[in-house]
Amino acid sequence: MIAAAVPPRIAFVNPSVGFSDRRKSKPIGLAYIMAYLREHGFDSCGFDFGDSEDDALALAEHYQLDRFDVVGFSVYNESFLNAVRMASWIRRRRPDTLIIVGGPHATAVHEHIARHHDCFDIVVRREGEETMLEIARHASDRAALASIAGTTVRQASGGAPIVNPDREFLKELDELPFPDAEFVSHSGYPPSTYFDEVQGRLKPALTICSSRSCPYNCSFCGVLTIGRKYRSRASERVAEELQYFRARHDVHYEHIYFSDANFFVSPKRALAIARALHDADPSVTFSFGTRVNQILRARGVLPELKACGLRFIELGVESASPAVLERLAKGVAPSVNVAAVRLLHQLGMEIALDFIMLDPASTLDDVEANIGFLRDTGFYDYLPHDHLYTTLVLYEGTPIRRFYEERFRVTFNPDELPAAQTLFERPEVQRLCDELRWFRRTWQGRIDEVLARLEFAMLDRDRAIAAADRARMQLDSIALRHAPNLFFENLIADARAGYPRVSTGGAPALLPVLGYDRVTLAALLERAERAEPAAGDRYPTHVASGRS
Amino acid sequence: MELRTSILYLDEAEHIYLPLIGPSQTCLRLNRPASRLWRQWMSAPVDLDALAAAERRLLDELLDKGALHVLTGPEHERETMAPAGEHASP
Repeated sequence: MIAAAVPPRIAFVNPSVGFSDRRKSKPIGLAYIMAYLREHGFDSCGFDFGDSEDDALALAEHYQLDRFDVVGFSVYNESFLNAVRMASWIRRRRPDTLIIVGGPHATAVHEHIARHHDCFDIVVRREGEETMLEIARHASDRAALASIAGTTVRQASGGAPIVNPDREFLKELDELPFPDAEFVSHSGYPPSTYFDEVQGRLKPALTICSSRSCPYNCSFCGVLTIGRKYRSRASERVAEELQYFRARHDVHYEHIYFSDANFFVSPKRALAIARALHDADPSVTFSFGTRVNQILRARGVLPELKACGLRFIELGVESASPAVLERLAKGVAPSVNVAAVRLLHQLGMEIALDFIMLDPASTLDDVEANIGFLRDTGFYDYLPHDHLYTTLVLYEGTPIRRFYEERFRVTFNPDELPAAQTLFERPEVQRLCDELRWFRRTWQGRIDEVLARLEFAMLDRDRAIAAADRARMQLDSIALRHAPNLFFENLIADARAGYPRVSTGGAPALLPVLGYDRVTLAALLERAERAEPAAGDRYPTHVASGRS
Repeated sequence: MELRTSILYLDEAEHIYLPLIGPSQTCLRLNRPASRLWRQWMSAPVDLDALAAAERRLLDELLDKGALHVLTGPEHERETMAPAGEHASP
């Protein structure tokens, strides 16, 4: 038991998401909680294992997670079981540790966790700042801990969990301190950067969250499990946060990745932030994510946003199939997707594409519509190629997960994400997915590496490249960008015909011939590797897309 | 008038890609209508009087940038004398 007068030793842990494609960036939600606690007199230690491939128990032991009085885990579906393993290890080593779990997944299945996972004492639902502060204040008083708003509490007796009332959402995000918290990271943090093609240089980048939640109801969105209550911060505070972290880290950040679920809910606010940043430092660039319908509705402000440093927009297109868009509750027609993409292209704005190529009920028509959209809107030239391989993720607490539970008449295990590649209703789509995965496994890594070498060689302004060589490099780079798309086209055509070519020659029979001289993919890669043989060590591979 | 190109180019995924022809010597991608015109111009003589104004502008631009050139008398002679397979790239 913790002595009442001594502040508890508190740790926050972001467990590994394993091999998930989830973006692995500093856990800004935990950073907010840690900063908020510190402001109220409670220091804490942060551990970010989000991108670690090491064993959860080995990490818990290595970092001695059993030396704290209170340990809080923030979990997604992908990281939940790693949190369970760590928490169980702590519980065995030190039974009186107060172990908390929160985050989107914990919020979605709070009662299940409190009932079935006795390694956790308390589940914190929705936003964690105020709830965690109250827990820290009462860490030594188990009776008081049982009735904190926004929590679900496990009963030691094994009885039904105590589900306390929801806590009100924070009304004023500007009253929160900046998310200033350091994390111990097993894999270290490579510096966050952005390659600005306009200015031709790599910039130190900072992630800022200028709003919370989103007013829309996309059926697959895990953000909404925390609560559909959109709130935003004042533009001046966002600009202040940039200056704060420049001074705090002694790094001259020049690009901002806005991590908001939907930055562009209010174009007026977006413009105010852009102006505030531009006034603070005209060299600062930024990027954000939003929906297609908002792009069209606010087309008038886009030129000024661009003039103020907007470099790319992460666009939630998701699908080109009307049936899939309806299942995803996007509320837009495919024509709106096309119009938004064309508008951004006309404005010379780069797009980071959010796309769900396959969902369990996909048909070949849906997939063909997707690849047709990519072809028609110029995404064959686009990097990275991830959008070709994405499958719908059925997060706990989302309407689409419930939709598929009803459709399949099953209850998915609340502790796990259903394996998307095993859920396809149609065998021809299952096979298409299998062959796509073969291509990704066999070729995509090498394509990415060679493309990165070519792109960097061509961007290197200090390097003299003969015009003829540069021309070949440009064309080989384009052809390599096309390669996965052309394989995909061949695959759909074969699927339409009942897979005759795959059945006789395997997936390699569908590899495209490509390039200005119509060579095989292997020959194209070998040529490009010969042209740029020693560049691999000089250039990081993640900047081929211009983003990192 | 007959047109030729002496540059390496890519005709793939419905588009023509012309290296070093774009701004700052980037690769220029012709849109689909322009790509179709390019293929026509590469395969048959061009009647300038039959071109629409936009087509004529594209042609002039590609000529200015050196992506295309007009086949001259001696070149024409060489081409018609050469055996199949020895024509200019691609």
